[in-house]
Amino acid sequence: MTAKQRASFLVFPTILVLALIVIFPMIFSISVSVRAFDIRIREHPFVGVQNFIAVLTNRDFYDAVKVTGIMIVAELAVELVLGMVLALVLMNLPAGRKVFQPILLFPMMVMPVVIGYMGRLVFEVRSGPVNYVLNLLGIESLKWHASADLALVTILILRIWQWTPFVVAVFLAGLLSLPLEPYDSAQVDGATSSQVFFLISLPMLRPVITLIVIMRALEILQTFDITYVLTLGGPGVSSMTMSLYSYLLGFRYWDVGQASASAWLIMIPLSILVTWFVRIMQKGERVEETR
Amino acid sequence: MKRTLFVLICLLLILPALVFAQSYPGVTVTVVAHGGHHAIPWHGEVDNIMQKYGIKLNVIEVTPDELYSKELLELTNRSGAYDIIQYNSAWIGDYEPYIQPLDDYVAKDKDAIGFSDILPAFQKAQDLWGGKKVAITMDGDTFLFYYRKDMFQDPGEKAAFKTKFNYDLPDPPKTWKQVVDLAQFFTRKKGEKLAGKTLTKDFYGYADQAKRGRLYYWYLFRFIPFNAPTPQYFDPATMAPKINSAGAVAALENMKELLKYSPPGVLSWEWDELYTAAMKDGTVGMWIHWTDEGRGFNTLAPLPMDNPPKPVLGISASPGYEVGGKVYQFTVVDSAWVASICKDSKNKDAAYAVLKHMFAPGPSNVGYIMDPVIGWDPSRYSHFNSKAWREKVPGIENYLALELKALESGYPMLKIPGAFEYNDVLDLNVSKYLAGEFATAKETLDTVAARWNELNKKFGVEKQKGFYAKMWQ
Repeated sequence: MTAKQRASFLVFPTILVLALIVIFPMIFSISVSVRAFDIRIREHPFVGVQNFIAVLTNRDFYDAVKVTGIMIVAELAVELVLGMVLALVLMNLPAGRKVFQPILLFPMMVMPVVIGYMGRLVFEVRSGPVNYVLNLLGIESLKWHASADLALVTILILRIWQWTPFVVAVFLAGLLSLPLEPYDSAQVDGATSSQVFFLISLPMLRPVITLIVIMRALEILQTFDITYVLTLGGPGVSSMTMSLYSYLLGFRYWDVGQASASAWLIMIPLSILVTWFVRIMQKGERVEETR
Repeated sequence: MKRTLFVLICLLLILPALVFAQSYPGVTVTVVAHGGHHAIPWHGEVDNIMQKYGIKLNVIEVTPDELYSKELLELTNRSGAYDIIQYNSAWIGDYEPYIQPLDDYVAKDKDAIGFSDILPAFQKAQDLWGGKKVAITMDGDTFLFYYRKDMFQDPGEKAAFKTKFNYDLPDPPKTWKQVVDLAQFFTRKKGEKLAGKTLTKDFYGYADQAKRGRLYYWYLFRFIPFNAPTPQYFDPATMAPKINSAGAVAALENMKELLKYSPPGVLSWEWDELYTAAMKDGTVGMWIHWTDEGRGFNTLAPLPMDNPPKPVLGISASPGYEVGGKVYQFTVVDSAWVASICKDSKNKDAAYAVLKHMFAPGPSNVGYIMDPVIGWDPSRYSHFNSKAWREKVPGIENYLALELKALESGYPMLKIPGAFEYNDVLDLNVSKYLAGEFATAKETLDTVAARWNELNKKFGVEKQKGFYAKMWQ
């Protein structure tokens, strides 16, 4: 057996496992998306792109895409800014870090379903503590998840509460791993704190930011539990996320064909966007290296 | 002589064994049940069933969310894995080929299971399909109209209502038009007077459980009477949806109109929120809900005021609609939990014996119905007339009598294949309308009708027509 053959032989189990757990489901999903696939109907005839057309001509799909898009942009923006600020605060408070770091991780340990139920209580219009505090401040009660205008905001608040600590933890790890030499040089050169942050820390954290954006964007795309419990996408479709939309198609209406088609329709552009983002960040890194 | 004596002695010895012999020794009957509280009675009877019949009862609990898919998978694969299945009667269109009709069993043992003991409203809405007895009602789920009788009976309020609306305060309201008047009349701000006392909280005339998901029920409570005298979901001859009829549009407009007199945030209300606001907070005047409030009539909170009158819960059939001087009221019977024997069961006779043991009229069955933890609501005459229940819960007779009366005009939920999709499409669009995403009720319901037509095509118009006919037989 040559070295190449031996290498191929050793890699084979990995390829087999990958094929079973990744490639096969993907191929099966493609196959389902081009068939009229309802588990209650025995025949699953080939329908070509009909499922894709059905999804693309459904207004609710675009509403779900819009809601998910808003969530990705708004949630990511708030979490990145808030996460960075908190990480910097903790970075400069080594004593507080030990205390707050474990506490900060607490929201991540709570199951999203529980957060959904908690949200129902906390944001209840008449008896919820949030409106109670607003009333104390002289602000009228808001309808939160009972209103088409604020349902998504309510979900975002809960999700930001849950996931910002994750961003803080990753940023903090990134900040702690940065080399100290550039900071020493900056100090010698008399750089201000904002110059240090924008010209040294932020560029060096580029890989960390890339990681956070990709991980968070993919997680936001899968937003399901909180929405399911808190609003079920409503009122109307004001908080209908893509994953909830696909779930309803696949597991409530049993139209697995259309559910698969909708999943592919969102996965393809998202993959392109993520690849584009990674390339931009890598390009930035290369520019930084050549300076 | 000696020989005769010997034979007699032998017979005497064998007779008890013959009489008390277990009919199905060593047979295992597998029942798949709604997990949690619904499964308690099945587990509770395992030993009794073993002693009585020699049957080993194997109870498989499945969460309600997964029940349909798991059962359907086993049934369509004809695996014979289950002997008895618990399911929602709305699924019968999908389950029909795999369900054993019970007519022969019922006829053979002179209705020992007490099929005729089940109220006709439940028989029609849950157990009969195409004229055959296919299931036994486990849970007599239905909807009742509740109102604050303590407030309705106040002489001052009665007089003020008559002055304002020029007719006597209806107790209970018979039509949705009256409900709108009453809701408007009783909606008051904190600090205003109600029944002669100052309110300590805002008070609302009416509330629906209007969160997306089960909102369609509250629309159907109106849709059905607004299409009186012969409401239909579809035209039985063509399967054309009737969901966008003139009556249907008026029903949806009524729903939106009543939002004005409902608590803020009602669009996010599920069961807990409505129950709490109405029963525990006492800030809602009228509402429609399952029977939980009726069963818990003695837990109604007083009106939110100092020295309130003694709380009294009013119960009646849902409001109706007047056609040609006659008011038509209907009580929507939920397509709730039933039990059937699987056609592919290898132990059908034993399974029927188990069903009989669990549901035939008797103290054991009534005991489970009386226990609020189980979640099985009354469905049989033997439940509604139960002396034991009356002795255990003084005052329950009022609820039992009023529900029995309300069920004289029971109306079924949709039971054809895809019933969930039809209802969810309705739910989604009604939710959109209430949230302001549709401009008019007509536009909303035309959208629903178009989607219902698509669903008809998906399942096959002719097939659905056949199922829809069976629903009424």
